[in-house]
Amino acid sequence: MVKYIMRRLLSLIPTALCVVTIVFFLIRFGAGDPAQAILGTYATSESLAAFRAEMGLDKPLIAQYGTYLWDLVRGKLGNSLITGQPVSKQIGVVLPYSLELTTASILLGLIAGIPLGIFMALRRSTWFDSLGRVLSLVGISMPAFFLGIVLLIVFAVNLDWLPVSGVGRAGSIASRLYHLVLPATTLGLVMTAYVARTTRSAILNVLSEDYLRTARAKGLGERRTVFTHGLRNALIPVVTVSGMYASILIAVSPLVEIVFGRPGLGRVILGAIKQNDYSVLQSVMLVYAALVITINLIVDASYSFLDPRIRYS
Amino acid sequence: MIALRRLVRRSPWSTTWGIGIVILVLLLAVLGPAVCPYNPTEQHIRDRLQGPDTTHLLGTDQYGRDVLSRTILGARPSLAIAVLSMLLSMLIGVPLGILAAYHGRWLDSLVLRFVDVMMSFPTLVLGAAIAAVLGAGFFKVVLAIGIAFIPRFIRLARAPVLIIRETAYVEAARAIGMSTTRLLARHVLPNALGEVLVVATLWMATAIRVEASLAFLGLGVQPPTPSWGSMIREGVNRLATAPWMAIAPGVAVLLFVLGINLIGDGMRDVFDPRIQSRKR
Repeated sequence: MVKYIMRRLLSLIPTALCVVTIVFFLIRFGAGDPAQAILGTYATSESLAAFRAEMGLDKPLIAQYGTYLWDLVRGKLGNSLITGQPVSKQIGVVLPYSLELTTASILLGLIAGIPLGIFMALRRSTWFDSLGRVLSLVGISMPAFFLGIVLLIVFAVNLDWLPVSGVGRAGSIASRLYHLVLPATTLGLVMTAYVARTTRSAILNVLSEDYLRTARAKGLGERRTVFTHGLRNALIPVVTVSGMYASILIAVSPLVEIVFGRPGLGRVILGAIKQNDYSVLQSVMLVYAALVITINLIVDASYSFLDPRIRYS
Repeated sequence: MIALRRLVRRSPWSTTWGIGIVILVLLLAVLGPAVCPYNPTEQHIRDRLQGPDTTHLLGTDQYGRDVLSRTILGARPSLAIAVLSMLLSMLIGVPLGILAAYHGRWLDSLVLRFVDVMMSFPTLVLGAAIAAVLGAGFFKVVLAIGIAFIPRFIRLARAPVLIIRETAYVEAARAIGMSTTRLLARHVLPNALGEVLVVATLWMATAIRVEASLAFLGLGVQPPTPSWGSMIREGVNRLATAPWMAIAPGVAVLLFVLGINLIGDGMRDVFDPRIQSRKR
């Protein structure tokens, strides 16, 4: 297993190199001259030249690419074009808040979605199943940030049960959790909808399998048949799809962070877009790609725990 | 056409609802100004921020513009962006996918590697980055969403071609000396296109959501043209005093996407042979 993970990590090097290259050239070719973008159309040619020299933008493109790669290898993401501060520091400060939110929502989605999906499958074609199907379809159709807005209006503005914005006092776990409830529920509900739908159809698929008939034939109760024999086999597609949806969740979380006024990658992206800070935008894209690749790796590694037939050597 | 008839006849009530919702939204978007109760960009400062009542069914915004009229007209840019970006993406992604699968060998590995790398960026993040680089505006958003969807279309078109490539009719066409270009255009493309078109329609739901999200980040069509996403963005700043400003366009996005997803679910139920056999 360790050997497999090591090999997967090694195989990630070319992927990571391609990701970095695409991001670098997309920003450089697409955005045009960063100096012009930052200093504006009225900047003098001297100030433009000075800015380019300061940021190393006057060197040939390939040299800039080389410097960028070398900096990345040493863990440096470069400096913000606006503030001049290291981007890694800017991202490092807010990343824990974003990770806290996405982890809480993914866990919430799995804890609520899997049992819900199982019960929908077991009570197939009853009112419970129909209601669950409709609600989960509404859940996946609703843009997450809009769901956030609705929850905000109901629970924070009208009922005044939960805070409108912020992340709570530093050091106080209770305050942090109190502020996490609404944003995590927003993303968690979306994840629940995805997971419940997938679990339902995965369970329905295994229910007609021969080995479940055998389990029933040897006198096993329905509950044990489903939970010990069916669930484990049904979980593989659920894990695959959950990994995919976790990536989607990570992508939409910045919008939810913005709705709830939380510090996080969302605010960093919004700032970078408003100020044309391509250096920050570039790094944020790398962070997202790294998160998605990590999730895919965790999903692949978890297969062998779920299905003993899958052994990585 | 036969497929649509089969879908309507065999599918549950939910699919009919889905088709109904989508047709209603499309009709409103097409008729646009003819069905708007007010001019969507006309400002009536005296009537600003009025709650829903009989004169303004969904209230007014901070400039006194009618929210219902703006929501109806907001469908136009949102739907147009979704359709055009899917077309653009299909135009580039489908030939690439078909060529990669048919040619195989190094071309296929190269294209697959590219797809894998592009798929490590979530669609929204990729779209946002491209839109941020290009700047806001209708065609730039189409370009951003279109590019972000290309890897998906490559994968989608590649899968059926791997099977079509091995069929007897392709072998026969090759045997009579048909050129590869003609073979791909006459025999491979038409056979792969059905599946691609169906999925592209369903992906419009995702495209609408991405468009709304980009507009929410300030990367959508520019004011005063209303689009659903930009209307939600304007409404967010006034949630406490005028929640209807964000709710009306939000519900519009939700309804349209729900409509498409209901149709998608219906199609899966009707056309998936495994589900059919379970029902029997």
